[in-house]
Formats: sequence, structure tokens, C-alpha cells
Amino acid sequence: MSLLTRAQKTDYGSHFRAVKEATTEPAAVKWFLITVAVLFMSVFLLLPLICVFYEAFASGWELFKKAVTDRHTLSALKMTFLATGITVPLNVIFGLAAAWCIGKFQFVGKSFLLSLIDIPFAISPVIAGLLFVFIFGTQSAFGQWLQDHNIRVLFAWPGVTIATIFVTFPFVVRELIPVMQSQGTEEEQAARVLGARGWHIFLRITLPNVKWALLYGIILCNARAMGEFGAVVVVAGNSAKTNTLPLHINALYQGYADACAPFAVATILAVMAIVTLIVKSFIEWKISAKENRL
Amino acid sequence: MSIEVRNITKSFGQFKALDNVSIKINAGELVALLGPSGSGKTTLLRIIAGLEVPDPTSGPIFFGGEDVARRKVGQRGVGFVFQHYALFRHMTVFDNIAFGLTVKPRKIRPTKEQIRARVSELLHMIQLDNLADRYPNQLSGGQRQRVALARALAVRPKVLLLDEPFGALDAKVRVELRGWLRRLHEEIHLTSVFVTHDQDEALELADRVAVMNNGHIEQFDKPDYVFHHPSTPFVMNFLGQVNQFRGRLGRTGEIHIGQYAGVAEEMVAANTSDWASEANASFFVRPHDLAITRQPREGQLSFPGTILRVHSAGVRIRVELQSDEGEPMLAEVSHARWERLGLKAGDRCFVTPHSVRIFDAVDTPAAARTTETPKAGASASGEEKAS
Repeated sequence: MSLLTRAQKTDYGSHFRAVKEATTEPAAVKWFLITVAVLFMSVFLLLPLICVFYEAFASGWELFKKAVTDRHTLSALKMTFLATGITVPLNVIFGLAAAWCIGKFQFVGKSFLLSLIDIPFAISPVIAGLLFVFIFGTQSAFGQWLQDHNIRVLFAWPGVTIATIFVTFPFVVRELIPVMQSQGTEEEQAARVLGARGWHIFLRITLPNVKWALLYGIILCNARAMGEFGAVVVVAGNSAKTNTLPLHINALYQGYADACAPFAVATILAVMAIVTLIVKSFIEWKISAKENRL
Repeated sequence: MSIEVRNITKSFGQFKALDNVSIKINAGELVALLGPSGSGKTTLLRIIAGLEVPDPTSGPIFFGGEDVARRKVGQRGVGFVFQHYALFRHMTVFDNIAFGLTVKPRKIRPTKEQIRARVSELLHMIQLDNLADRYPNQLSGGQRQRVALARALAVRPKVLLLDEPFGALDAKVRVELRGWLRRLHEEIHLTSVFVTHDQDEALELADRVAVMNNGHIEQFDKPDYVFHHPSTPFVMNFLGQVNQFRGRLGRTGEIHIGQYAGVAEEMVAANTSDWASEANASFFVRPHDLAITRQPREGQLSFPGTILRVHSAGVRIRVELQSDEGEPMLAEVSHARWERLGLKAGDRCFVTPHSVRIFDAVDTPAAARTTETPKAGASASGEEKAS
């Protein structure tokens, strides 16, 4: 009896092994592919990150602390937070509105609107920056009018913010559109039949259904807003007052500061990026857990 | 509460989904809108609900004598059950059912306890008492459908509208839910309209059936009457399989199909006065009214054919035949009769229509229309070869 069961067990075992072998690559290929992937990631992603931290602390803790707590660094940090703090909420509002109208309604010019939204992805940020210099600069009528009324846009925080908004605005809307499209409008219709009004439907049905996609979009938008360089450098001018963190790092690197200073400041951005990544992975995990439940 | 719509037209671009449709549904009735896809049945339901706006030329929509055509969907007091349930996926079963109560304006909103009591009552009614905390994606299709129904009923609607309520369910659950819905309707007597493309569902469940086609209502009658006395070829075709023969109707009521002529045992015509004139006509015969014999019947219309296939898995045997013109025909016989005949696929035989229905003595577009939606339509006209 026990012999029989053991025989059966081995039988099943070899059966499963056979199945497994039939559907996987040989070990050599497996290890080769893994090695290539790990090497590539190490050289291009991990190594630079380690270098940043290594260089930052190379000249000792004191110099690191000095660079990080420097007046200009704090001002750049403030500028980055200001620009990001205005950009993200505005892009959330815009993104929700645009995704709602594209995802839930049929109208003429829909694909045109979609391509418009993609413009910031398509054109170089430097060109975007130049565009704003043309619009808000004194050579344009609008720029002239702004100057007459003593409103500073270029080379001041509004310019930096506007450039950041422009560069980051597809992120939220692009995350929301596929989700809204796949969910259709039946739930909203059901809510409407049950007597719910527009705002109520949005807050209680539409918004909770896109919650995770929205958060994901916010994370991506936030990461890009903090790190944007190209568009901002054009509109910020050459003043320490309007520097954001990436601009400040560049200035330190080009200037005569301590060798470790740009790296020290860069660690701030790197840490913010890592935090963003962790939050992003958490949200992805949440989304997949939710989908698995379906 | 009764429902009445008058002269409703709805166009989507060039396409007329509904063409001047009027219907009156009595209070407490359970009515089926039955038709193939594209017949306008769902559009009519959505217009009654207020989810779709009819063309400006359309007439009024009365709920119990009150015109609600100008009212928004949320103010009409309808319960609507969507084909794919449309449950709120981020809410529990409890919150789904309570939704309609919680969004009422503050002045008329029930208290938390009242809402809880109402939801419990409905959960009990749909027999899901212990699933209040589940999410929709944790329920089976039949359970979701019942939650959708409870959600619609929570606000005590004046009329209940159901769009293909069983369309997304598998056959067994469908039949179970059908019986359950029927019993529920007998309990609460809420005026209800449901859309379906399944004739069995419509005939079994509804008090009256409106058969729709091409944006028209072809017939609106009790299930029994619609089935036995179809008023148009379309209705006959849609409510079961039918053979269609093209031929000529003689002065004395004899049928000419090609070179064969004779009378049928029973002949039903929509308009008997037309019998007097000799005219081309379409003759409709249900498969069970088409007898198979080895010899032609004396004095009756009988013509030859060849047996193609025999389906014997079923209560009755279904025989596919072909006329000498190559037109397909379908007959249904009992197992006992089939054994006595002793025929098999490939054999020659004669078919004799027992009961023949004529809708219009003259071949009108009405008859031609059925050929657009063939189900088992078969014609055997102008036979020339002798057997």
C-alpha cells in the first residue's frame, strides 16, 4: 500500500518536472539573460545613484551638511516645492476634466484634443521654455502689457511654474483616460436614475473608480515636476533667486563650489525620487491586488 | 402606475431606431419588449426611463396620466436595471442598495436607521442577507443581478424597467431567476417593462408581449395570443421556426405551389375577403404542421421532397428536407410517428401542410420583410419537375 502511494507520488513528480522542463528555457540561457539584465541595470541605474551618494559624502559630513543647508540650496528647494505644489493640483484638475470629457463622451475633434494633450511629450522642453519667453517677453504685446502692469512672469516664480505645468500636464490625464474609457458610463447612468445629481455622481461614483489611476498619475507628474530642467532653465534666467533644485545643482556643478556640493544637493533630489518610487510601487501593488480580486 | 407613450420617434443620424411608436401599459402589468437586435426595444425602454431623449416631433410620455416627457431621469421615479448590472464596484452590496436613499435631498432623506432597515428588508427579499459586506466582484452573475434589482427597488420607484435582465447569465441561472422575478412581480405588483431578445423568456414571464421590428411594434398581445395568432409574418417568424412557401391562392381557397395544388386542413388568413381574388401569396407553415408521408394525400396539397438530415435528440424529431427546387424545409414529428414511417436521410417522401397561415393574399412588402430575417424560412415555389 505504502509502496503504491510512493510510486504514485514519484510518478506525479516526474510528470510535473517534465511539464516544467518543456515550458522553460535551458539553465544556461536563463542565467545569461539574467546576468545581462543585472549588469545593464547596475551600470546604468544603480552605479550612478551610488556615485551620487559616494561623492556627496566623499569630503566628509560637515561639507555635506554645509552644502545642503546653504541659503541658496534652501531657496532652490523652496522654489521646487512652490512650482510642484502649484503644478500638481492644477494638472489634477485639468487632467480630471479632460479625461472625463474624453473618456466618457463622444464628440467631434476628440482625437485632435488627444494629440494636443500629447504635445508636451512630443516637443523638447527647451522649445517649450522658449515659447513662453516669446509669449511673456517684452517683445510680445502681452509681455509688454504685463510689464506695464508690473507683473513679472519671466525670470520669476510664475514663469517657472507655468513652464513646469506645460511639461507635466499629460501625466495625469494620460493615466486617467484608459481607465475611464474602460469603465464606460453605465455606473454614472445608474446613479443618475437613482436620483443623484452631477456633482454627487462625480464625487461618489466617478472619482472613487479612478482613485488609483489618479494617484499614479499624481506620482508621475510630481516626479517630473521636481526634476524638470530644460523648460525651466530657459524661463528662470540666470538668477539664484529663481533656481529650482535641478537648476541649482547645475549651477553648483558649473561654478566654483566645493566638489561635493552638487552631489550633496543631488542627494536631496535622489531621495525624493526614491520615495516617489516606493509610493509608486505601493500603488501598483494596490492596483494589481484590486484587479486580482476581480 | 400605468405607462403610455405616444408617437415616439428616435433617430441616430440617418438611422431611425424608433418610428412613431405608441404603447399603453396598464398599472401592475409585466410587459416584455421582444425583438431582434436593432429593433429599437432598448431605445424605447431608455426613452421611457429618460436616459434617451426622443426626437422633438415625438408625443408625450405619461406615467399614470401625468406627462413626464420633460422630466429629467432622476425625477421620473423609475427603477432601472442595466444589462450588465452597472453595480458601483467600489461599494459593498449594502452601500449599493442604499445609494438611491443616501443621495436624496436632505429634507426627504431617510435617517440612517430607516435606510438600514430598508436595505435589510431588500437583502432579505433577494435572499442575500449575509452578503451585505461583499463587493460586486465577489458575487456571481445571478447574485449581482439581484443586487441590481434591489438597488432599483430601494427608492420605491413607480415603474420598474429592466434592460435584458438575464442576457449576461448562463442558461440555468437564467431560468431560475426568471421564475423568481415572476413571483416577485406577483408579490409587489409594480408596473414593469423588460427588454429581451429571447422569445421563451418573453412568453413565459410577461403578461403581455410587444414584438418589435425595425423601430415598429408589430404586435402587442398576451403571450398565448401572440404565439397562436401572429398578426404579421415577422411575428410568426420570430416566435419559433416557420416554413415559408411562395405560391398562388385560388378562388375557392386552394393553394397552388408550382404545379401542385390542393387545400390544407386548416387555413388562417388575416383578411378573408381577399380570398375571393386569385392572387400570389406567401404561405407560412410551422414545422409541426408539416406532415411527412410516403404517398401524396388525396385532395390535399402534397408535394415531394428529399430528407437531408434527421435530428432525433429531443422531445420531437426534427427533419430537414429539401424540395425538388432545392429549397430547405423543416418538419417536426413525434418519435412514434417517425418509427412507423420508417424513413431515413436520403429517402424521398411527400410533405403535406396541415395548417397554413396567410397574412396578406397579395404578396406585399410585409411578406417580403420576413425574408430579411430568416430563421427557418423556406420557400418552395414554381415546382416544375414531377416526382
